[in-house]
Amino acid sequence: MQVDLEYEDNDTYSFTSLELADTKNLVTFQHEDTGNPHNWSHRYRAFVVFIGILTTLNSVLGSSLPSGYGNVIGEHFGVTGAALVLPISLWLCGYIVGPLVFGPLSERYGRQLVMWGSSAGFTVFNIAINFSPNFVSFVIFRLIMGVFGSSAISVTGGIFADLYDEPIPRGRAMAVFMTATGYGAILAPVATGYLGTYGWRWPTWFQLIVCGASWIPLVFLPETYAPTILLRRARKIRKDAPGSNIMAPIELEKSGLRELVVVVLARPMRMLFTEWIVLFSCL
Amino acid sequence: MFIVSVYASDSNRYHINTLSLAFVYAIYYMFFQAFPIIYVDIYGFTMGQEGLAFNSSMCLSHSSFSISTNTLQSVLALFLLSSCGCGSTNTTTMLWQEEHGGPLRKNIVVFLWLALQHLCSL
Repeated sequence: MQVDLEYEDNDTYSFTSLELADTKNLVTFQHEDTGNPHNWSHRYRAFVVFIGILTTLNSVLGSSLPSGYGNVIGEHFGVTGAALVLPISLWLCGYIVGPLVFGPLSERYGRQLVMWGSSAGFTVFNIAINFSPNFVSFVIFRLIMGVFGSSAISVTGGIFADLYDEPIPRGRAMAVFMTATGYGAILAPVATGYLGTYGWRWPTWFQLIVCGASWIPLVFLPETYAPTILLRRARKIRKDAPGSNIMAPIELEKSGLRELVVVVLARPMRMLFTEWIVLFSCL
Repeated sequence: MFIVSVYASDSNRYHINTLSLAFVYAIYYMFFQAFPIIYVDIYGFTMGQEGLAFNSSMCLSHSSFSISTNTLQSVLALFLLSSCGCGSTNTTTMLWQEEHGGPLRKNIVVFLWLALQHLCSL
């Protein structure tokens, strides 16, 4: 049974209430609700796509960074031979681990928080890598940067799915995004090939400069994940009208550390092994 | 880059699987290890010049983007691709060939061809 309620305040929010066992009112998006990312203006959505591409470019730029100046790193740390493969390959190992963590987290706490958090971690380790005392720490810092950097790649796809509900604009956005990943990895060796002649630190400083510049649009990243937008809305309504039993759908899920690990973080693995269609499309 | 087209286009039309994607991605990142060996050690490029050799892949990236978005630019991209692989490096190529006695242009074309093969096979 569905009952439509009008929020009495001067707010424009209106919500549909679903009758639950203990009469909790759930916030949902109305038709043509401007809070819904699907109904945002084209220009604003393009801006969000631009932010996603910029953070991805950052991350991918780093992945191929040591390609141009591998011998400089080798000379500085006194490493030769096959070990010089590690700066690139361990970064890619980080790419394997990261999406398994940041993908589900972004669907629990919202895209904005995860993007900001992972970009902050990325920036911190980007600074740290310039002060690495030996090759082992250099490589481990790069592994951690790879984990944080993978967040942009996995979460940006989710952001595009939040923004566009029609397949054609979403496909176009994904095309631009994936081209950026291609360009980023190719641009890095061009830059670092020249910068590498000025010392092993300059390519990573270059990356830090790009990273710092991309923080300027990144702070304007809005929340695009619909359940988190509804959660914020419900909190605002509860704050404005204390005592009202308004709930967001995401609040009905159990919260807690155990729930986070067992349900949210294990979700991709559980889907991989129990859902046949996921398993076979992943092979 | 060549994975771009697969990801971006309608997944109903392109049947991808992760194993082949993993293979393609491995080859893509092998370029970053292989280019210094090929262009610096064998052809004697400086590090900066070696980085510029990646421009060929950039054209490919652009073309795959055009193909995936079904725009008319794909014609332009293919033109760029062909000019990069065959035309514009011509004079430099001759010089390098005289100095080092190796077919440089053929080398770039081989890389382009390899990448194109993957683009087509996906």
